[in-house]
Amino acid sequence: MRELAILVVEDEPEVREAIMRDLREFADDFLIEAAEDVDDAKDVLGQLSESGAAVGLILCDHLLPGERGVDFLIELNDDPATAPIRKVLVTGQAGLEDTVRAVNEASLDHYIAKPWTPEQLHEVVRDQLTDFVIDEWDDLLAYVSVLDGARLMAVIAERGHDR
Amino acid sequence: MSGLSSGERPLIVCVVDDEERGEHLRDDVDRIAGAEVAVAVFRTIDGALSALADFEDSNILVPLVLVGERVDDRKGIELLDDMQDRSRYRGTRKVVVTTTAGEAPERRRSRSVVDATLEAPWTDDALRDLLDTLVTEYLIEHAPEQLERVPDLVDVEVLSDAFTETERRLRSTDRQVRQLRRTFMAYKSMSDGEVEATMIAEFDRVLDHPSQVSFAAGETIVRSGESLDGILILTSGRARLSLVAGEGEIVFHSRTAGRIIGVMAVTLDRPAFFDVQAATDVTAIPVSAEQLDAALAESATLAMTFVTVLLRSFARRNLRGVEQQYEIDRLNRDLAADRDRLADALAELEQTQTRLIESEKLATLGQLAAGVGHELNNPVAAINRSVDFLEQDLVWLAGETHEPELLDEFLRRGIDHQPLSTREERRIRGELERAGIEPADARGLARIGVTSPDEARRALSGGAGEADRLERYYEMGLALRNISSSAERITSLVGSLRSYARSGDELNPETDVNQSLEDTLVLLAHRARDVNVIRAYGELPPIEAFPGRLNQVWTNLIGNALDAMGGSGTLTIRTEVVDAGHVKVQIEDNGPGIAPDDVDRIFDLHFTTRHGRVEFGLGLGLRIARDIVGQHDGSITVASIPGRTTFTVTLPVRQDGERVAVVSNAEGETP
Repeated sequence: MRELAILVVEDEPEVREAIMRDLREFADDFLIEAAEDVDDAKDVLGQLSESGAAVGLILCDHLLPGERGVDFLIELNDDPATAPIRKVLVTGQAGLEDTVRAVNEASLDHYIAKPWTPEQLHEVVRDQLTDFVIDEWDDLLAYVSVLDGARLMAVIAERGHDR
Repeated sequence: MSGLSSGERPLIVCVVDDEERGEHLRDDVDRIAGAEVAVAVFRTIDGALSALADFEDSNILVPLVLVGERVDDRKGIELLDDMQDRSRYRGTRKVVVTTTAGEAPERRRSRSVVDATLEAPWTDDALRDLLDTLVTEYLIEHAPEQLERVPDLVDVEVLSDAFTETERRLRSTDRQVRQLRRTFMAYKSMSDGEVEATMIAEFDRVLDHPSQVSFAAGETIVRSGESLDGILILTSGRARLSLVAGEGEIVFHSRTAGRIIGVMAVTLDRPAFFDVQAATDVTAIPVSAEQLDAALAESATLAMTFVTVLLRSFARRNLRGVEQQYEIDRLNRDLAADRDRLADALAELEQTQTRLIESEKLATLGQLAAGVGHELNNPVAAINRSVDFLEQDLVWLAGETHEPELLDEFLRRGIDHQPLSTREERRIRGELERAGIEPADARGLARIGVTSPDEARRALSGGAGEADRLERYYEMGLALRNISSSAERITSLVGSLRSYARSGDELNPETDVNQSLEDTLVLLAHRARDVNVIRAYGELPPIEAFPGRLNQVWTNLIGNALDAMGGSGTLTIRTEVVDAGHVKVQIEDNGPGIAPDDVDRIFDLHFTTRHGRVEFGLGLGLRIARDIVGQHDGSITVASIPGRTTFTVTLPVRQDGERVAVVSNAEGETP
């Protein structure tokens, strides 16, 4: 089975490290990569794609050096290869306008306001990855124990009936 | 035809188709008229017409034309009619030469243009009589100075009659002129009252003591728009002429109304122009247009006095009109000036209000920021202390394990951790993997700062679980470090915030300009993340200034520069000592620059009110900056080319005590 990755894009080391730490409970089952700016994030996406891993979720800061998080997410959404990735904006500063753009143009899936709580972060990551595997993958059984098991079981049951 | 243009002799034109009669006529006329008169004979009407047309613009006189009753089947009268239509020949005496008496009635009836007829064959006497009378008459009318040139032709009787008539007319005219002059002179020397009294008496006489009408003071005599069939001659009292305009009434003539009312309407045949009211009790003679005509024809005295009164009255009304126009113009100018002053005052008021709102907002924000900053200090202090305690406790705990050195080392490593870039971390991970370290271990070790394969092998020597434990210790160290560094950042932010928003707006003799710039930069850092900020701070002496207000200047100038660069570019902040008494701050951006037309106006206040809401534009911030620099007795200038816009602020090191007192009392507002 393909490895599933989570990409965190955040330029401030302290914040990035804190997010990585909070995502530790997913580390046994998913690849968790960090990037500090948009170019770096693109490098990581390239490497993951080479190694055969699929990116299921991007947690992206809004205020990044060089490019706004929203613009990066819009760019990803416009590329068929990256469009299915779940996109979550993590920011303390995006104005309403940017958020609206993110929802409308980048199909933003969720929005996490800083400061976050670990519970909130876990819930968003679990929900989004669950959505991703339901939409993209056939074999859901492997994720029942790590993602939203109830929803996955319901989908598995439904698909079983269809077949 | 050469005979026709013989000098300036008067020309007698004969037109007959019979050759013999033509010769006969020429000879007779020539003989009777003498050498001073030329004679031309034409055989056809067209020949005569074309010659006469040629002479029309010359100064040749044609006193007489003799034309046959029929000329080549055409009637001679056609020629005479044609001549009558030409002004040059209208006075020419016209004679028809007839052969039969029987046609006389037709001649007489049809042609008043014919002055006489000559019956052929004519006698010498008859022809002479005709020529004398008609040529003399013509010359008396058109060229009396020619009379003496043709003594043979002059008819003494006609001449004598003409003299008598002229003399009579001259005498009559002279009498009239003398009379007129006398009258005018007389009226000229008469007062208004005398002329008016004469006129009224004359109206009374000529109209045979007509009954008068009377109006009480305030009563309306004529309403504007009413049609009048006559005029009123006021015999006592005064009228006033006015018009209703809007909600008021404009009085055009009160003193200047005069004694005659309604002339304008009657002579121009239009409705009454003014409302006419009795200003006092009024009596008047109503005079219809017909009565007026008859009366004026009957009495020269009445005509003269009426015209005089009317002329004087209209002259006064006209003068009054001019004065009113002049007054209206002056009032209009005053009004326009007042309106301009009001508009200026309103604009000034709006600007002041906007600035008051803005400075009020800033003051409130400043107090809030200072308060929040103060409150933040307590939790930050607690965080700092807790980090120290945790560190001590963790070191103690590490000492309790069987590998105290290694755990202690990784705890320290975490604390001293210099954050690796995500790229660098991935590179190290790759190296470790290539050296044979398992990918999962390599990932963990690269994260905790293990950079060489040897180090990695040492860390992994403790067997399963050891690497995890090391990682945990490292991360505890890292967490402590992150808590400390984040707390430090909060402390520094709070410091800048408090320094920036120093609540008291008091003159500080020890203001550190570089520090105030730095505080502003820290607070604007969120807008300058992609901007390369070059700090070229020179060593400045502390200056006497209002630090809170200076911060506002820097915020506006730096904020402007950041906006101009659209979020990325190079911002240069330069400070230096100008001379012993002044320091200089330059804020420069590499944005697109300010349009040359706008540079001069950049400090002007321009803001718009849209949807009832005041929007603060670029101008407001710069205007505030200029005001504040002005309060410090400093100067602010801007120089801009595309790619480099520099605002230069020069401030004195010491303030003038008296002036500062005034500025302080103004509480941040421009005096």
